[in-house]
Amino acid sequence: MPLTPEQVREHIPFLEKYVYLDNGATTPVPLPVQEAMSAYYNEYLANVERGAYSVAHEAHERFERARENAAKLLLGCEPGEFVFTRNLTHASNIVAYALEHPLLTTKDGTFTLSEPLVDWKSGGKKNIVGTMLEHHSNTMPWLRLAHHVGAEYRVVRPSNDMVLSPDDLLEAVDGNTRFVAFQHVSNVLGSIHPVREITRALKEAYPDIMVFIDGSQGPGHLPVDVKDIGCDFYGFSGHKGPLGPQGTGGLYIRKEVGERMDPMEVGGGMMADVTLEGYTVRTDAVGRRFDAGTPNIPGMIGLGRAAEYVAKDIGMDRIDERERHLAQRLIGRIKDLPGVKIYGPENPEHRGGVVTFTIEGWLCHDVSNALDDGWRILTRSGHHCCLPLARWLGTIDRYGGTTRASMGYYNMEREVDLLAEALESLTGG
Amino acid sequence: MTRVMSDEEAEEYILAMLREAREPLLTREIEERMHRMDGQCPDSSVRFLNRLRLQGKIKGKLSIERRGWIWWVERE
Repeated sequence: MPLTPEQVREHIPFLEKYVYLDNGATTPVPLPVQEAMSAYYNEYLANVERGAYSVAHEAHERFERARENAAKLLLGCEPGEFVFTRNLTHASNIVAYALEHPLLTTKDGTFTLSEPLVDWKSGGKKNIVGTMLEHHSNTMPWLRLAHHVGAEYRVVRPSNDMVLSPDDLLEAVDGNTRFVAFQHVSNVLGSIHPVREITRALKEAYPDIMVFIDGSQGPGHLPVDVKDIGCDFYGFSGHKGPLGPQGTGGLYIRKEVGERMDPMEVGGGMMADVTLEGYTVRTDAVGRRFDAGTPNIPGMIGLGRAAEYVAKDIGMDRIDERERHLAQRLIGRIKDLPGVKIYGPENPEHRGGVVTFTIEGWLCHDVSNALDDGWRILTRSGHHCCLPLARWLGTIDRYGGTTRASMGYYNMEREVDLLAEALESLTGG
Repeated sequence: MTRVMSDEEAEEYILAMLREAREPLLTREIEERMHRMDGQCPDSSVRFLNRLRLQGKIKGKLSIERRGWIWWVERE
């Protein structure tokens, strides 16, 4: 039987003290996930892929099983295509680095550069396309990349209901576009974009385009199948929807692309051979090429258990349905309050579990502070690491940003109602 | 771009501002005054002000009438 919200709450003692509505920033780690991490420390502590003794073998097996669970259950990809990361930011920087630097390898005792993933110099000026809705971690790496390689950075704005469409992206790309990066779900607006349709439209029009999807608000909130989407890269943070530990995340890299990528970090564990003249990186599994140094072993084991927790113990479709229901319940209660403006899609089909709003006359931070101080309701306020979007919405100067309530499967209707009542008190509604 | 003050500088400035003010100031009013002197808190204003409040250096409370948090220092 799938876990009910009440049963999940029993696994998260933290929820007894607060109404936690900041799941878009990070999520609590359920006890079964914590126990999986503790088991590593208490029962089979060893480094992975290094020792030949029994405990090291067990540590390695469990680490790889965690990789397999995270890959298959959260993204629908093979473990060999899955890179453990610290978070989405780490994932986007891994990709940006590889797009700028050709794979460095050693041949006949000297370093040689392989053919680059993208030839930025030949032909006309190349461009990279992003959108107005992105988190800084899905904007800044590409801005920096564009600067370093001499490419243009273009920005797409959604034309309808704050949801990106294939046509929105197709209008911005052309024969010189080499890379497009966009989000799966907006952490500010709650918009769920049709990433499969967008990716397929881009690839059909211009097969040379590589597609990176920021899935920070995707896995763990809704089902994701990167093979069906057809993207080249898909990154996410483990400490959000998947209910994994902070400091974890993942990156899917399409195998044919990954084989040609230069790792951002080099060191122990990811090499095939090292001499004093050079090195070659491992080629057995693309995912492991990016595991330089000792990884965050307990973190990744926790992420693997978390993947099982959300995908099997609860079920992604159930999570998706519940978070949408809670968001719509809140919207229904507050949309007519005096001075309240809600941002994001009006069509409920296009919105996940995020409700972002402003109150006329109020600084958003004051609203969040009031909700905490008066009602122990925890929300986030400000620009949510999306300054360009906040400026485009006109919220920065007027309100200092927006206040955001982001739902989790374990949030209850009574918590949503409490937030609505609190906002009624603040607005006099 | 507005200059981000150091913790000490921001704290000094805010305490001086609140001592001079005749009535408690809204978060927004504090922010505006800081921007006029081309400065901003090292963190978001409310987070920084809350920190000072929790340290006992200033007082603060919600004012629904004035639509925000108000901040003051206790007169000796």
